[in-house]
Amino acid sequence: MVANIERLERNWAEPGRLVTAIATVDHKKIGVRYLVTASVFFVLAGLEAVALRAQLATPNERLLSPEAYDQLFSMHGITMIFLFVTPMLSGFGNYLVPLQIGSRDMAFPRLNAFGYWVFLASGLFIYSSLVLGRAPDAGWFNYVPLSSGSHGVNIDFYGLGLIFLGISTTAGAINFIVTIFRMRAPGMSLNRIPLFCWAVLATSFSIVFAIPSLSADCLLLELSRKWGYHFFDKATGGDPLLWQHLFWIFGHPDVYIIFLPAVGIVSSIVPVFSQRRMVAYNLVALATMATGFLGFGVWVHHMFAVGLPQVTMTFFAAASMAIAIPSGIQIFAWIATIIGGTPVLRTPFLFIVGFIVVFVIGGLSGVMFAVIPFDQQVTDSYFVVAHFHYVLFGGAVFPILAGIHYWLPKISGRMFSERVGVASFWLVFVGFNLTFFPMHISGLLGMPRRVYTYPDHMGWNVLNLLSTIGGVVLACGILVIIVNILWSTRFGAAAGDDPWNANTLEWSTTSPPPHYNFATIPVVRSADPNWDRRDREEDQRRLERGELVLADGHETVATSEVDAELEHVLRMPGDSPWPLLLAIALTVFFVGLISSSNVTAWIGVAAVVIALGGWHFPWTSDEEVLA
Amino acid sequence: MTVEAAAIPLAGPDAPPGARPNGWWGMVLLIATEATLFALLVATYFYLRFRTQGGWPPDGLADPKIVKPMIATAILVLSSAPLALASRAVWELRPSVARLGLAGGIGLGVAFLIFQYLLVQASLDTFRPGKDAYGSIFYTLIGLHAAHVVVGVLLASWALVRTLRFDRTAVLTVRVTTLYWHFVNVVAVVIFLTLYLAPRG
Repeated sequence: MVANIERLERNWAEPGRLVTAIATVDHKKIGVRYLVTASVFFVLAGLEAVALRAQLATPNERLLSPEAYDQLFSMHGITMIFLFVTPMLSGFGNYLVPLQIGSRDMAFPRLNAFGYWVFLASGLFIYSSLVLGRAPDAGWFNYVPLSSGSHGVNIDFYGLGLIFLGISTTAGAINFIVTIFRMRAPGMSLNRIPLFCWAVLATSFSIVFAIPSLSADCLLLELSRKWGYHFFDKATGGDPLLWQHLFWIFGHPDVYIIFLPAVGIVSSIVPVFSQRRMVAYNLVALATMATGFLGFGVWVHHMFAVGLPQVTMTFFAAASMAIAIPSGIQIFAWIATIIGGTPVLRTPFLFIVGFIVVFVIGGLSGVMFAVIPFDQQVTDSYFVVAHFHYVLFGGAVFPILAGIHYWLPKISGRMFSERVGVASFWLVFVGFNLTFFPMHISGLLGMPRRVYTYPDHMGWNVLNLLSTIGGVVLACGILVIIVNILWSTRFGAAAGDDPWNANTLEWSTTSPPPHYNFATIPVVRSADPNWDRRDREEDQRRLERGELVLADGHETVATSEVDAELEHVLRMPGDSPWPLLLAIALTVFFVGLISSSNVTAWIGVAAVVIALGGWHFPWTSDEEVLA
Repeated sequence: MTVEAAAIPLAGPDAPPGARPNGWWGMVLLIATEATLFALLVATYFYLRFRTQGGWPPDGLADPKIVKPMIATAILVLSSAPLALASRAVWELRPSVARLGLAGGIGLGVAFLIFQYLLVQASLDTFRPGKDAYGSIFYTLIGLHAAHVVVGVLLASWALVRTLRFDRTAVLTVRVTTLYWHFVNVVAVVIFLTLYLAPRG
């Protein structure tokens, strides 16, 4: 046994720091990189929001010019949606999916590294616009003709940046799907997959079919803007609504791309802090997939106010209301699990309770929008701003904060301060509601969204001041969380393997896990494998017997798609510099496009081809030659 | 049960008919997302058509001529046969036959690209992409598809080189290249039907 572990340690050992920094394909390292980078973008978007709230604190404020305001609110939305939430949840997925399914890596480790580098590069690409003072300024959904008619490079950062980022998102999604279908521990049949992985699976399928719509839209926009094509202007046979259709065919599934992994985090935490099995596991898994699927049939509900045929609108209103069924199943399953268990009110669980409260309020205002006359009354007002912050902050940020506190002990091996954690929860919860609840009222009073200031006599002054004060409280809460996390990684108490008595496999290995994740590939017989003490003791005995240790290289198992029967041993690729080089080559291409330098763009294309060649060249192949 | 006994070969006489390595799944999903992209652009074509008042093609432009594009599409569709042969050959561990198939596919693919280039040059004399929405979506579809054929030719060339060292990765490379190639050809047929046949309906 000791000899086996020594061989594992040797085979999975990391080279020097610098090599690891540029070439690692360890899903845990990549996961943490996603989490940290996305958090930085969260802080940036938060600072942008603080600037916006400062400008709106009092009427006729002159802190920001209208142009600066436009850029900041656009960047706030773009950053939160594209550069924070989705990559943040990719970070959780990268770190956790292999651990939860008992694997040693993702199906395509190098593609995984590539996905991160492209995310980072496209994020820097988009943010370079703000440094240049030329940030996108037509809002995060960038409607034409405002966006197609404007000059300057601002909108091109949006169009090209999102195509660039879409490569990363798509690569990540394909990787998750193959990993979850092919790399599960023996015995982890479909009905035993952790609910978080179900959520990642549903999200990934949504990404595979939704991102092309955003990419197509941005492609048509850039062809129009840079090469004089016509898709969106009526005078030359185009149609401005085309942008909206393609955008929301992506955009509504994207709501679930954001929401579903967050739901997966909730479904991970609720049973652990209730100390009982999840109620209606099968139904919740099905509801997760159903939500992802229905998400493709509701996009027109973002367009009720643009003048579409009545039949179309009725169909989409009905489909939108149908979403309430799978969402309801999940909410009631969580509540039933909590009521049927013995809830432990620790920080992660507090954020979950906060999520349920806030999200239900956001859901209620959401159902109101499905009533078309009401939607037409409040569309483009602050009521909408209030609604989607309840849904997105409530539905995604609260679960993300819960997830950070829940998995931090696994990732860093140390515990955060529980007292500070509880305090930070209350700051965030109070700050959030104080910021966004008054916006319901200012919206009903007629305050339009996206105005950079407002006159004195509209009756919106107190509400806006409250929102700004709430924003400051919220920002303080986030700051306390960051301090708590940073403090804990250096000074926190040792967490041990399983501080929460949790049910999934990541808690069966050490904190932080070794490079090879598991000394022997676990064999699973239920949906809560870490609560099956005998199975885990059997893993130990198999380790002593040397079964499924697979210590001859970067090895892990492939299993059948449905029943997870052992099929073969996979030899996984090790560290490689090519993912980074390919990402750099792509960056050159996009820089060429944005600067209208054909030479640079073609150099980028050539570099991409060379990098792909280097990636796939069998430099040190030890595969046997077949013929 | 030992692990070694459970290992399934992914190529050769002992491989089960359905053995699908991770790379195969990855390519299927890439095709799924690409197919969605083309489906949306074809939908855009019809959306623009049905939102346009008056004739289609607009401004009294004649319907696109059908014979030459049909021949070009037929050449490309034909190229699926040698690729299918190559895919079968690697499965049976016959690299030289596979190379022949790949070379045939590459030849037909390049022939298609040259033919398509000449056709586009000729039609640019009649209407340009910047003229109206019809021209824009017409050349967008043709151009994006041609770019995919270029990628297919590059992939097949790489697969050809890769068979010189004939291991499992080489087998997989040829198999997924074939899969991608078939997909690009199905798209070619859809685009032909959309751009050339549909306006006559």
